[in-house]
Amino acid sequence: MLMHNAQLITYGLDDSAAERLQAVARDRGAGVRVARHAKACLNLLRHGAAGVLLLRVGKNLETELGLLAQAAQQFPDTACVVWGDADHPRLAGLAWDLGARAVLLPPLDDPERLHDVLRRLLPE
Amino acid sequence: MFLVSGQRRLLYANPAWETLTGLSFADARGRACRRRAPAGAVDLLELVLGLIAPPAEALRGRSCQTRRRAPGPRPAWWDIEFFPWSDADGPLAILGKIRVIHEAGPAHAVLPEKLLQLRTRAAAAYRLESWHGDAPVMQRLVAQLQLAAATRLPVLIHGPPGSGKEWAARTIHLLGEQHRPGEQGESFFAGFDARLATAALAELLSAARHWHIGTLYIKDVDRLPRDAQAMLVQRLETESGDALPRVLAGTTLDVEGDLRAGLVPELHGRLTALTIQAPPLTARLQDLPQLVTDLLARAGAVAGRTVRNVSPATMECLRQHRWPGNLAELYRVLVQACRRSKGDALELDDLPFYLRGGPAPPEQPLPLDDTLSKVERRMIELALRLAADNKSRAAEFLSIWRPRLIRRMQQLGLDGGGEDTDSAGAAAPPPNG
Repeated sequence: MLMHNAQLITYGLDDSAAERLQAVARDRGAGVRVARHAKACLNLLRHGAAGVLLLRVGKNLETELGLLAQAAQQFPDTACVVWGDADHPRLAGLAWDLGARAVLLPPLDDPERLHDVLRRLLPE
Repeated sequence: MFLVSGQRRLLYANPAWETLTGLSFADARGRACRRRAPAGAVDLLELVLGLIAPPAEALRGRSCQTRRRAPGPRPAWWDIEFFPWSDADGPLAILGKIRVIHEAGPAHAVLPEKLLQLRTRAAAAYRLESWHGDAPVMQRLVAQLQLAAATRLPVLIHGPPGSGKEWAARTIHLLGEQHRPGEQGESFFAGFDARLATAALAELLSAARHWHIGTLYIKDVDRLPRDAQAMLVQRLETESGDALPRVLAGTTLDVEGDLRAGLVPELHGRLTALTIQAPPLTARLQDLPQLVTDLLARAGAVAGRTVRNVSPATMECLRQHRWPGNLAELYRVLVQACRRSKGDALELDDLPFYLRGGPAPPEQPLPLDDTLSKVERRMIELALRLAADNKSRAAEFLSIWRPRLIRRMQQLGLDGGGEDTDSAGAAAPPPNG
């Protein structure tokens, strides 16, 4: 089924963290979809309207950044946001390079900043 | 903590400074703190005095903060805040406070090879060869991209929406890396979205060196808030070449017209030193078959289909379209067509309907007033019918005052608008009459 509202897709977030983003998404008339596997995440991107993909990184960098690279290249209308506590300066650079529209790694990883970025990137 | 005189001589340092630097304050007292150490100096004291040298902004009497690479074997940065105490003649002394930021993890220097391979694979799409084409505009574009890569000047890339401005910026970045191999190690590309706040741009500029970002591309630079533009100009003017990434910018506006109006003059002047035009797709239609072939693989992957080519009729249809969305629109069309495709070639029926229907119909006017009048007339007629031509009742149905109903009937030329056939005008006031 095709969806026409903008959506906020999360990858790597637990349910409670995704739940906290509901209000931000609702402000923009968007829904939150939670993906637990990279393939499922790409499927959501394929069948949904352009919006924001929020990637929580740090558990399995190869999968997470591979998904970022694929999403940024195949779905250029979707803004990819990378968020996490993996503290590695080159990781932030690499995430930007792979096509992220915002990278929120330490010391820029506080949730308030994340909410502000999502509000700005979700289409009105 | 440390205290530097207005003449940049070290006056005081607390014991924590001694612990941090491993130097005795007695050896450092009265020494000049200058950013550039004497040529050939490897002395730790000289190095530390250079690191705590107040920047020009502090010497002008303004508080500021700077991040500098700390000395020593352990990778770390110093965030140094400067607080000047000034009188009319300038700063009397400057108090400095150092905060140490450690780079985490033993693998700070390089990323695992598997992660860097992701980058290599992604970058392959943006190499110079991806801009091949026989159209004259493409040959000029390739020459301009090579010229831009050979310098570190800011570059403005302008062109209609979807024409590949960010793609061009990435090509410049990759070519630039080839021109300067190993100069600064791995250097990354960052595409900044102007919808993000001014603070986000400031943070990105400050952290760019730490994050090994060599090129910053600002998408839709004309949408940057004025304060962000002013901050960018100030940093470009005051910080040395290596402290900031190279700045590239993109816009859909006309460079000398709307863009000049949308940017502060200093930023317009800096960005337009070198401009590159990303051509619209209609200017490179002779390259369309090759472009379609290039994009089909990506579009097929998104759609989950393997489509290898397009039929001649389909290609002719694609050639006839005006492509207001340029390359981005072509990509979207190919993704949709791949989803519908049942074979390994795209047929005419696989294309979206608006393309198959031939040239777009002429633009029709949409007169709002006429449409609203027609709707109003229908509503009044319906209300009168329901009220058996009793205007007071009809006005109640419409939630307006009776005199307003009669006035509107007269204006719309409805029968009975001039007569006052019923006398029950004292109906209760409607909610929004």
